[in-house]
Amino acid sequence: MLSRRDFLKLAIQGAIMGNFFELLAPPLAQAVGAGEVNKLPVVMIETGTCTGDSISLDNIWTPTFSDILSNIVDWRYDWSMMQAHGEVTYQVLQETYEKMPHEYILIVQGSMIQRDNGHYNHVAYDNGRLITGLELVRCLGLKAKYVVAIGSCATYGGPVAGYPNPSQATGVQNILPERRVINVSGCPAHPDWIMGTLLHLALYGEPELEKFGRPKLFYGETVHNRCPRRRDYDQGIFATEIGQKECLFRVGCKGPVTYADCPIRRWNDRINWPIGCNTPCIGCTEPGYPDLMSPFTAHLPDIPFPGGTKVATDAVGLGVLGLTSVALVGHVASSLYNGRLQKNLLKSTVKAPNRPSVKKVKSFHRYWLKKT
Amino acid sequence: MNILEKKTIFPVSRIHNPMLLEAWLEDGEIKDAFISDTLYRGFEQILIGRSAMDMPYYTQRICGICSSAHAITAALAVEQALGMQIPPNGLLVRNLILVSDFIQNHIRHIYLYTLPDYFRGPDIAPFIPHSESDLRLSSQENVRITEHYFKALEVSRVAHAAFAVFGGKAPHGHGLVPGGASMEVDADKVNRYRGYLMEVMSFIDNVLLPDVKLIMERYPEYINLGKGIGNYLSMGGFPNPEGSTLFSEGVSLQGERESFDEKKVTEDVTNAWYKPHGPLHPMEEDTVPDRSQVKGYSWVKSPRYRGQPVEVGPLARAIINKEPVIGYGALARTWVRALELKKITKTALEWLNRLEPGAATLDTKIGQDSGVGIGLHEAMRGALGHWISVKNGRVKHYQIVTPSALNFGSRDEAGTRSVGESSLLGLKIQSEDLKEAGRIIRSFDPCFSCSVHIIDGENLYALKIQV
Repeated sequence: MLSRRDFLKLAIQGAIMGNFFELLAPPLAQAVGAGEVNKLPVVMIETGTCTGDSISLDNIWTPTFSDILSNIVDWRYDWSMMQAHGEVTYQVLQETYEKMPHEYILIVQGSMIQRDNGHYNHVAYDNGRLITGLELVRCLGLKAKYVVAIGSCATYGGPVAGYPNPSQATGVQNILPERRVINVSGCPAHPDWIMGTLLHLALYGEPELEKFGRPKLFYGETVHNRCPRRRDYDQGIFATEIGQKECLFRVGCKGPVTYADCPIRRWNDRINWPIGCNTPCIGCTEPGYPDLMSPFTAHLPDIPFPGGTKVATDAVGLGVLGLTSVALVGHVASSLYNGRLQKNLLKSTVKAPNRPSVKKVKSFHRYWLKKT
Repeated sequence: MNILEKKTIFPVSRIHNPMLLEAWLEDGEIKDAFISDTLYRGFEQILIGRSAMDMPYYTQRICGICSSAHAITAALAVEQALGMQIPPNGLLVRNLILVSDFIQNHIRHIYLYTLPDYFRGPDIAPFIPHSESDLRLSSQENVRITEHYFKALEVSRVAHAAFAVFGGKAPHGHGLVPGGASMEVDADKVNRYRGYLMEVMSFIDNVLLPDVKLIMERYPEYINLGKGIGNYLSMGGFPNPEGSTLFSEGVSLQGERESFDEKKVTEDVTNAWYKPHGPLHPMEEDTVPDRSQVKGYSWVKSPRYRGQPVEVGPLARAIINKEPVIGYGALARTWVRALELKKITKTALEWLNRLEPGAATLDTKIGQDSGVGIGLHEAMRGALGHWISVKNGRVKHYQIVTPSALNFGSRDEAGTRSVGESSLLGLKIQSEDLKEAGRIIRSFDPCFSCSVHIIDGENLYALKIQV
């Protein structure tokens, strides 16, 4: 069987070559065959979500989703795929809960709706009683082997927790303080991130997590540091509008503060990704998304982090080279402050007078990692 | 006195997001049905105060399977409000992005959501626990359809790869922006898109259409079981640069046709969990959730056209387009969806051939920074409208009328049922789990993540029905 070190190597190699799972699948199949690992029992609960992460997972390239269903995981409960409906589905949950405690993996997709004690979101029905998402996730979460939150909503609240957060949504970690939740963020999360995390759990247990609870394997580096347009940035060559081929920093790219491996992994058959499509990264994997990242298409002089650090994006590129800083400062002076920056961008969004106060927004997207 | 038996099915699976069905039966026949959505997220409130330019990105997050439909409708609304023009090439690229998402949605809807009602899958999850009643395919046919089910999983992602060629990533792509599309056109991209499209086309012709035909042969009564109420609406969509559209707009009320007028769309919240107001045009209404409303049973509002419930979706589009349909029930909807798939892939190829490499796809000039805009476009599952009012570049008012709200909205002031609820009336039920009702509901391709505004209903139903 693969060692953990080999796994990490493959993950990075696979991200570049686009065949992570092709490399990984044979040893995994061997391990399953030798009885070293069982098919992973998985329960997927959808709460306040758009189901985008399910659709994203269906888009996985290697291995195919058919292979995952037949050989890798026991996809026990997922209401967007199950053949049965109604009461029977709830029995599956009950059976998993009672017969396989501390064996199954709970995947949560969607934010936890807290308004009115969670009654703004019902997800199950037991003998005449409607069960809230909050209750079900807490109940299943406490007895699961691992809890994996997928997508921005489940991890840090996401778009559903956007100001003024009418449903009082929050991430799973905040309602399950007793245990560590593994966060696979993204809007939606990349299928490789989801499956890669699940496989790591199956083969080696919990992956190494960074400070916001995400596997370092996928979220260890900023988009900016691996961006193919980084050269433009270093030389101070910036796009002035969306749709141009240069560095998109001045039209609102949040790459410098966004941790994800999109630039090397890319999306859907690895054919493209947001910056490849001449649009800025909107920072969808970060805890402050979307409020602290919006306006998406406007350059923000600084982006405050829910973790406490305030990253001055203007300063990120400075100091790489003396030349760079001159170029940047020159550019800032000429384009940002003279208003040439992004002609299409509306002035009010740059000044953002009605931008919700950071303090207020932070409370929606707060994230505390439990120290274990 | 008749005793009605109440049956609650929750969740109705293979639907996007939670749907609760409460059916009242008498001698195995559905006499009344309530369909409700049990999730509230309040997107329309979240959108207020944000930059209008962000709307295509933010509204996509309403729904994971029809993200690009929301993006394009939001972009249309913003463009109208701010006086923006789309270059012809941009229009074609936008159509290509949306059409690939249509393909993805239709293939997934047919195989992943509809067909599992009719065949017996293998003994692995997600097919277990099986729903055994009324399965008519032979074991050979079952094996074949199962193989195709897994094949469909692979082909639908190819459609999303085509989406990503011009859209950046799928779902929640980045390519659709106010003013056109952000991706430039060159031979490499056309080539790749074409490759993906070809793969999908061969699947549709050789696998998908024969499979749907087989199901229709085995379940002929479902072609006309679960009929709507005879009101159909289409808001039109997929404009060509010269002005004609692939889907024409129009309304057919009890066979009488008229052109579509957005002013006649109203939303009512009498039986939904919102602060009550009478039927109001989306530009005038607000969305204030209030779970204490005793009459409420769903988070979905009740949108009406000229005060009447209407059906939207591929069947409605075909009727408005004056294309022949084989029936008006559950499998007729699925069949029309399959035919539409064939039609749009063919048209996508034409659009692809008309692309001009190097020509502009995006024009970001804006005329004014305040205004009112209405975006109307057909989404995968029916007509979708976004109503926006912008002041100084920020959203002042935003209302969305989604296809699933049109099909499955709550009852209006007069107590009129939505098309979805009406289609279940009189249905004979033999199965324990109301499988028959599930088949009909799924044929509408409901997507409750889209219904935007949603709540719960602990035994509130009982108050409304006096037996």
